[in-house]
Amino acid sequence: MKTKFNLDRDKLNSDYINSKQDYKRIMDGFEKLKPPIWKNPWFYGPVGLASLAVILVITFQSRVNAYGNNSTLNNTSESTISLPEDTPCIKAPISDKDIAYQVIDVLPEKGLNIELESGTSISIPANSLKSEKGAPVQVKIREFHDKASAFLAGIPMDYSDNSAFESAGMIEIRAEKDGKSISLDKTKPMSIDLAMNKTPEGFQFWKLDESKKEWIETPCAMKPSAKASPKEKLMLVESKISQQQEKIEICENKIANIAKTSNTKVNNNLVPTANARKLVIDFEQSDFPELEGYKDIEFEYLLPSNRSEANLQEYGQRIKYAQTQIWNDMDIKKQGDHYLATFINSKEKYTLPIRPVLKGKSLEEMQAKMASASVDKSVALKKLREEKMAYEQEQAKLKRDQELLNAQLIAQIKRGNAESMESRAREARDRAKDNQAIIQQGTASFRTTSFGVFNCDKPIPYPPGYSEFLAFETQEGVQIQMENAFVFDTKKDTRYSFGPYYMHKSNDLGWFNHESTLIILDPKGDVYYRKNVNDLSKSSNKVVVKHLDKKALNLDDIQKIISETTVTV
Amino acid sequence: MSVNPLYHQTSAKLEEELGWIRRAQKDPEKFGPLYEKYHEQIFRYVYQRMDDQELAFDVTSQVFMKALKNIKKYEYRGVPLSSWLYRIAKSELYQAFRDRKATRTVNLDTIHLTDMVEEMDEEQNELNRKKLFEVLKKLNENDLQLIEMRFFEKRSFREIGEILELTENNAKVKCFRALEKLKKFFI
Repeated sequence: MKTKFNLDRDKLNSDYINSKQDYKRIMDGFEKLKPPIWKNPWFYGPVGLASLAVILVITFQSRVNAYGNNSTLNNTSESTISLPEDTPCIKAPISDKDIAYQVIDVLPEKGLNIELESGTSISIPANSLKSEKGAPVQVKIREFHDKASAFLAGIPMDYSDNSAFESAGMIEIRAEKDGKSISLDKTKPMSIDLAMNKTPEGFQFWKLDESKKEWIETPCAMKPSAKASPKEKLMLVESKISQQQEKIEICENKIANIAKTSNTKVNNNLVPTANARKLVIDFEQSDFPELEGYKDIEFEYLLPSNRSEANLQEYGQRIKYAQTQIWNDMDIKKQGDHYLATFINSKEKYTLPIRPVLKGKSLEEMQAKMASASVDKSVALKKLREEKMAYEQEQAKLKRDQELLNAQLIAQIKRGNAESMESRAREARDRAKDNQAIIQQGTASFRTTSFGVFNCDKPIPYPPGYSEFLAFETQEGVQIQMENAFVFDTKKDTRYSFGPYYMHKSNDLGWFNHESTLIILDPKGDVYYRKNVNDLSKSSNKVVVKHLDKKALNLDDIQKIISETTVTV
Repeated sequence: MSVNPLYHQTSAKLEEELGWIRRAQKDPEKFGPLYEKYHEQIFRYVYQRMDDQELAFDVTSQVFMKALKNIKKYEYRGVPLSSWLYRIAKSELYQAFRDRKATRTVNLDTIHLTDMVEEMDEEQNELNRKKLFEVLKKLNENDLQLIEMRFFEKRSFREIGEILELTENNAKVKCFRALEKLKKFFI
């Protein structure tokens, strides 16, 4: 994208800009942007049903009349209605690659306790399924413990307009009989203990509202897994070590930032001056690190040192001028023990000296506080260094635990070697199973009287858009038109979705600076990918992608592409 | 250091704005006060980044139409509606660059160059200002965007973070890095 630089372009004044306000145009445009009536969900409610009923009655009547008039059916005008299909909430992005359900027959009058391989258990009480007795209902279940399967199933992972979910386990459960959905008795909820593949800390529980296409927070009790093997404990400890590392890095970042700020100190005399005029500034504490420790700070215009009548009169006039003009912006700079406030509009810059003061009770409180502690950069730095040290100590403790657990694991393997061939073979089988597994690290227990998709998640912000217009092409130089794009972030363990069907449109496409894989679909639904898209040079807007043979594509392929281990909880 | 008074609103003003938002969510016809409040701000943001004045007014209208269309989905998070509007504006701008072949423009004043030369601890003279003007052209779009918001539009890190969907701290770090890059080019 070419960028043009203009220096000192003529400024437009506010009156001119405001004269261009055209609210009517906005309302007219809004009316045009409104989706057609049949795309509104309520249309399919009472109004839609009523319309359908009227049309059916008319059709039926016209047929009856036709018979009554001894006319042939061929002459009867047929009324038909075709309702346009709205995009469903859950839609597999790659056709024919949807994740299959596990189907279990349940007799309504008996109910059933279902134990899944993952450790998830579902308890459907007797007479909870609202269906005729004696005829089994098909309970359909899908569990998602990895990004790849949730992606292939098309489970939407967007939360609000700027976050995507990082999932710690998700379950979809439905009931059907002869193709019709079966509901649960509102007085007999089913209970689910959902296996979580991450420790519950920081996760909430959500249910997908498929009509509104949004996740609704739902009550749930989460608890960490109690029975953990040394290997499970080791994985938990390793994840905690990396969490501590992140905290340490945040502290280091903050310390580096504070160290960069100038070393000046504010005048500690924060007592307001009698007769001085006040100025209310809603400022950011972080922009004034030297004032960070104070609350209820306000500013006053600095009185002249020579307070003769003439000087005070001039002082009053200068402040009156500042208060009566319209300013577009304001700039504050520190100068010695006071500040300079510069009021700016398109015509001029007007500067007055000001200083921070405390008001009311805050003054007394702060005077007491200041007596006991010096609120300056070194205090903030000291606090941060202490915080960092605490994290480092915690991390060191975790590393000692890690060493211990490693030793336990090695001893366990050695013991295994000393045992019989049979037991070694058994252990090898167990280990192979272990290697494939992400350990159950918690359980989310909840009760519900409705079927649907339930998810243990925490929202992670979307990456900023790449800003440049991106062009995609294959290694052979064939240009690809991107319709939908999905970014899989390894570090944040999230999937970000972009495209006409998602909250974030194609031009919002972006990724964080972590290991990320990009999968794109063209308008025909063909699939392309690019691993480590985060390594792309920011100076180029060309992304070379690889084509994936859709016919041979399976869950394993997606997992390999997005560097994800096979998961069975 | 600068303060953008329109962004940094008192809690009373935010409360008032929240009332307008709630009313507009119930009835889009009531979007008027929000349009009046933010029209100039959004226009200035758009026009700062393009050359064509009429197109800038057009893009601004598109921003408010999109906002009105999506106001029901808007979730209040304790910050002014402007951060959400800026994000829509950013998206509409890039669409205009792509679809309407509009030119991405950076508009700056001599006073901005003066401020930046000061920020970079370089000597204040015409030569350095000219040099800086040329050096700015070497920055990539992401860095330029940060410099533009921080030094030409005088936005706070908190506001930059809100617009670019970064944390305040991250916005600060990124701005610092962009300035460091600029300094390297300058030497």
